[in-house]
Amino acid sequence: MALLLRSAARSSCLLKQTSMMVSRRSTMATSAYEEMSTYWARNRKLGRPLSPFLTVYKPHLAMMTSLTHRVTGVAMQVAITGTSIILLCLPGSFAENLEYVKQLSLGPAIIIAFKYVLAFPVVYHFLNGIRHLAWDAGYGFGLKTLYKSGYFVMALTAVVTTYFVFGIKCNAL
Amino acid sequence: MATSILLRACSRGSRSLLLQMRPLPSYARTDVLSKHFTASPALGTLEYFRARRGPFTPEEKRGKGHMMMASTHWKVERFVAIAMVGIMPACLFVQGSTMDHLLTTFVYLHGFWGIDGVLKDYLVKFVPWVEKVWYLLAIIGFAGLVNFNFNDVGITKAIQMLWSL
Repeated sequence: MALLLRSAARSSCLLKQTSMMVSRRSTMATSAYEEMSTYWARNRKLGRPLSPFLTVYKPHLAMMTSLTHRVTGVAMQVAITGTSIILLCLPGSFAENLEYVKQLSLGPAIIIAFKYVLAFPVVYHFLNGIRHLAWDAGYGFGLKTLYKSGYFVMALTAVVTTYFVFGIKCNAL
Repeated sequence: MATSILLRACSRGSRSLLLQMRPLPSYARTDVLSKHFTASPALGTLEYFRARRGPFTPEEKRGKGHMMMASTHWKVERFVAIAMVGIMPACLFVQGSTMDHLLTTFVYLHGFWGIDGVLKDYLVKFVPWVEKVWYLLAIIGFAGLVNFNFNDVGITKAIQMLWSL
């Protein structure tokens, strides 16, 4: 008696459950691609908000070093390509144009700041690039090592950049 | 006793069904998080960028018409990077046209792949043709640098002249 009741209840409940599932899933197609498509279409139509992704992070060293690495790389390549194309378009040779810049008589503060702006991305990207290559070889992933290498790269960048700006003197050639 | 057995038998997820306590299906719920997440104006602008975030077909992910496997390409990129670890300090000590050509080739190639990666990460899902634009720009830039090396002073000399300001 109890067994009969139990089996009847279970089958009816299962039927109710599957019928509910069937009515909900009748709009979905079979392949994963189509299921994802309908998911995105439906959510866009409903105007659902995005889950917060960037703002929920507290900045940490790994994130900041990686971001700086990428930003310096992009900035340098844009500068190199831009300079190259501009040099193609400028009248006169490089020496002539440099003479024009020299005649502007910019103050030493501007020139030093300009040298810093040029030297910092190169040095930082180079040193952090070595860190990246170490990761590619499999070394230095442990969190303590990561933080130590990150701080080391930042300190070394400051030292080498200052040396490049102040220490390297080229004669007017 | 029978009721208790009945309840226990149906308790695997369907007890709510038995007690007629069905929650609304998730797409019709109106209580939590139905308002737009406009806590900050910056996030509101994200709604403008209706990126094609997926789904991507397997063909799109594999990429059509490539010369080598992605893993081989990755190895070539690392080879160029490791070569640069040697070239960049060397250009401080050795200048001249050989160093000019070395620098141009390696630095520019490395930078081209770098920007390519950045574009693929962020922009290609919005603007699929932007990689072609970068390819064209990079060729023009490379031509400009080669012309600079041959018909003008050359990069190492130019950087020396710039640094003498």
